[in-house]
Amino acid sequence: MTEELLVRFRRLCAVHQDRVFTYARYLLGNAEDAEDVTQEVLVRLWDRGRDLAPEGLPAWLTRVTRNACLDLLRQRRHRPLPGIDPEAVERLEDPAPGPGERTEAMELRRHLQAGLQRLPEVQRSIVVLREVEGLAYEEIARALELPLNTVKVYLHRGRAHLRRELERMREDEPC
Amino acid sequence: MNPVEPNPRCAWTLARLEAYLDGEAQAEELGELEAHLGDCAACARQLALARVVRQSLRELPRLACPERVAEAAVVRLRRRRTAAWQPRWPGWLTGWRLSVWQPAAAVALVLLVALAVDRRDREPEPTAAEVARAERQARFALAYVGQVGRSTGRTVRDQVIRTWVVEPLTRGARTGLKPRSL
Repeated sequence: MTEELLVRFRRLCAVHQDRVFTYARYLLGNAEDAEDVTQEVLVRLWDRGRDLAPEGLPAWLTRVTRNACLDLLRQRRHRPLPGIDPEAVERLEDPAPGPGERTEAMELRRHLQAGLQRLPEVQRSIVVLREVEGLAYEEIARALELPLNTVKVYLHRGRAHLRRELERMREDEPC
Repeated sequence: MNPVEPNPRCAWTLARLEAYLDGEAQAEELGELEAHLGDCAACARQLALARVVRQSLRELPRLACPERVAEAAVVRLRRRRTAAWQPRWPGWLTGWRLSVWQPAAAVALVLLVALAVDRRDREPEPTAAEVARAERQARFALAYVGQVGRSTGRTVRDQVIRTWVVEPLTRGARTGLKPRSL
């Protein structure tokens, strides 16, 4: 790999790696697997990059990332998903609020992340792409090759499921 | 606290709650939804929970990918034997693996070599007698051309130049007349 190609590849990574990693991280539930998937996606991006039209690249990246995550999940079918990484939750916490609020926010995020992992994969994908990544419905539909209305239905079902999780969490809280 | 028991009105409202929150409730249902949410504390609480969930999801951070991931990808690309940039083959070609094209190319090369050797074998080498005859013919042709050339030169000298140039000039010199123009 020449020096020039190396520079080009690093630039490509800098543009896309965070988005790919974020999606994989929330989809898979742990950082190590997300790193493996991200590496795989970056290599495929390098191989296919020249064949892709720029406007089609985000949808392609999402699709490839999802497929790589699904492959990993299939391989691990006999192994249960790891639990939520407490250190990861610590890193996600908002540093600004006071101790009480920080605890509540942490708990809320912990439950949300746990709830996300319990969603069916397609609902989880859509919730992450829509609410965390901020993609439009049309972009999600294109990336996941689903009808637009199906995307909306799955998003609403996923959030309704998380709402019920949050309600259970609050019911379990000591008065 | 028990979860909301789905009486028909509440069940209808809860089924539309997320769409309502996103501003995507159907126009003809909007009035009824808002009326029920104003009247039913349980459904109103569900709406508040839905808002918290949506807001909390949107506050989940976008994560920074560790640098080691790109570095690992670089190592992997460097280990490849083929060039990082693949030539742009059309899709129907890239569907075939190299394992098909390599033997096909080898067979084509062997066929070409075999054809070339076969053509060479069909054209026999000329015999010594044929070579000698070709030389005689070449010498005859050259001699003939030379003879024709000499004959032509004599003809041009005697019948053209002498008649039309030399003699008129000579006569003119004796009589003081200009030679006729040709």
